[in-house]
Amino acid sequence: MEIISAQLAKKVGQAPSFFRHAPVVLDFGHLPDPDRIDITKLLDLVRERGFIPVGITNCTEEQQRQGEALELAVLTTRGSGRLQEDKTDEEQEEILSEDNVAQPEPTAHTSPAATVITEPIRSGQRIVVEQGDLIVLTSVGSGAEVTAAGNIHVYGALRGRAFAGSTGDTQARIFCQQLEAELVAVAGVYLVNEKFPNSLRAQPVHIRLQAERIRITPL
Amino acid sequence: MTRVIVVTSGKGGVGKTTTSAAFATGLALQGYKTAVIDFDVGLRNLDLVMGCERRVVYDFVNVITKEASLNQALIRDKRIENLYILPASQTRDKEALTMEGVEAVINELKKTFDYIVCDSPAGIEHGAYMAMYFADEAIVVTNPEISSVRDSDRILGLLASKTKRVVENQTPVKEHLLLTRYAPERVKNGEMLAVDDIQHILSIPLLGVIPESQSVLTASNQGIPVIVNKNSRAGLAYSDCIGRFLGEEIAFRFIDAKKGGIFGKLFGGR
Repeated sequence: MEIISAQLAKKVGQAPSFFRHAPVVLDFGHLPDPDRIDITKLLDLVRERGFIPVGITNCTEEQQRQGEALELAVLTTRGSGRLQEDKTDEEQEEILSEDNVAQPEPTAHTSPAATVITEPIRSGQRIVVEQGDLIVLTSVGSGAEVTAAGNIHVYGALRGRAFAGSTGDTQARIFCQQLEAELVAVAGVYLVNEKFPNSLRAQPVHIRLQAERIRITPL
Repeated sequence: MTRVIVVTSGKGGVGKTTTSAAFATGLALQGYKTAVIDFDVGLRNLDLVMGCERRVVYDFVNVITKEASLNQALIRDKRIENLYILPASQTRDKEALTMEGVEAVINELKKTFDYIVCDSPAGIEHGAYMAMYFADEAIVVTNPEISSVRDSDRILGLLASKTKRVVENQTPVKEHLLLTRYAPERVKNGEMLAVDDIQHILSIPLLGVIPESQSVLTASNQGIPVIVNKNSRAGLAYSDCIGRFLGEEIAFRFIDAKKGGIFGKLFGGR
């Protein structure tokens, strides 16, 4: 139990805000002696670290009963689950009790300072980043909306709407390779497409707030 | 007394938005203060056809959720006086249109506008229902093909049973049939349903027949409602519809093959 606690602390220490309120499934499959684990105590431990336990898997029947009593989802039974480790789509936090070898990083491991989007953002889609920057490697379609508390970088065309500094950061900026946006805003100050300087249309630009007005300059 | 007009069809792609834009523009050109509302939340198009997509800041849903006032969201047309556009939201869905919210917006518009044109989304679900619910008049846009006619028939059934006027036992919604994309040559060859056949099936008064025309697509892409184009047969046909809608007696044109076509081309602009 102490080993688990220490490993959890280390894991959370790597990216505290990423794991905050993260849903976890407790997997008993890798433990050498799973029957010894007291589910209630383990749950307290996990909760203390800021996780939200949502289910258990690979557990004994007794643990399964306990889990159900605690309103946890039981994802697989011990018999069928052991061999099929990545059966669920849910984010699985692996708890290794022994040597910490080859521990895989969670696939969605991103620094809270930036969120990276690699797929095109389609019309009607809305991306909201509540903390840090948003980096879009493709284009933002007409009718799409991207919002970030920090800066917004678009490495393709920006055809939709972009709101940087959404929580009030007047220093936030918007960068894009091709300015065709419907509207751009920094910390709530906006400019509609019609007011863009014609010389900067479809150009790579840099957008910031200057004297409480949107200022667009070429990159 | 403000009139609320819904432009609806059931079927998609028959010309509801083109008609809404043309109709609102036509009414404004006649001096009536007109607002046109895009009810197609999530698939906003009217702003493009009206050529105001570069000026959208707030939308219909923002007004309903009280994030913006109606005056902030209404876009005044730059070319035509008395014409205002209330765009839809692209990032929301139809469920954002609440009955109370839509009613509040329409009541607010009624204070100052003569006509409110509601551009309905396709389908018979919530969005279309919200668009038609408060209507006083309905323009049912139909293409000369059987699937469109059947869908229009369905919509007429809903207009007669699911609108505020019916629920409150007022006089029913006044229905108008508008045939669009009509090609007299193809009717003659038996490839398309004829005006008379469609009218026979739907049995509501015919407001107009808009001929199939290249200028409609051009107008949409340019963001200039086709009714403004006096060299377009479709534009002229829409102008005729406005006249009829306002009570004038205007003969139908562009209905007959060849003769009508040449006549339209030679004398259409008079």
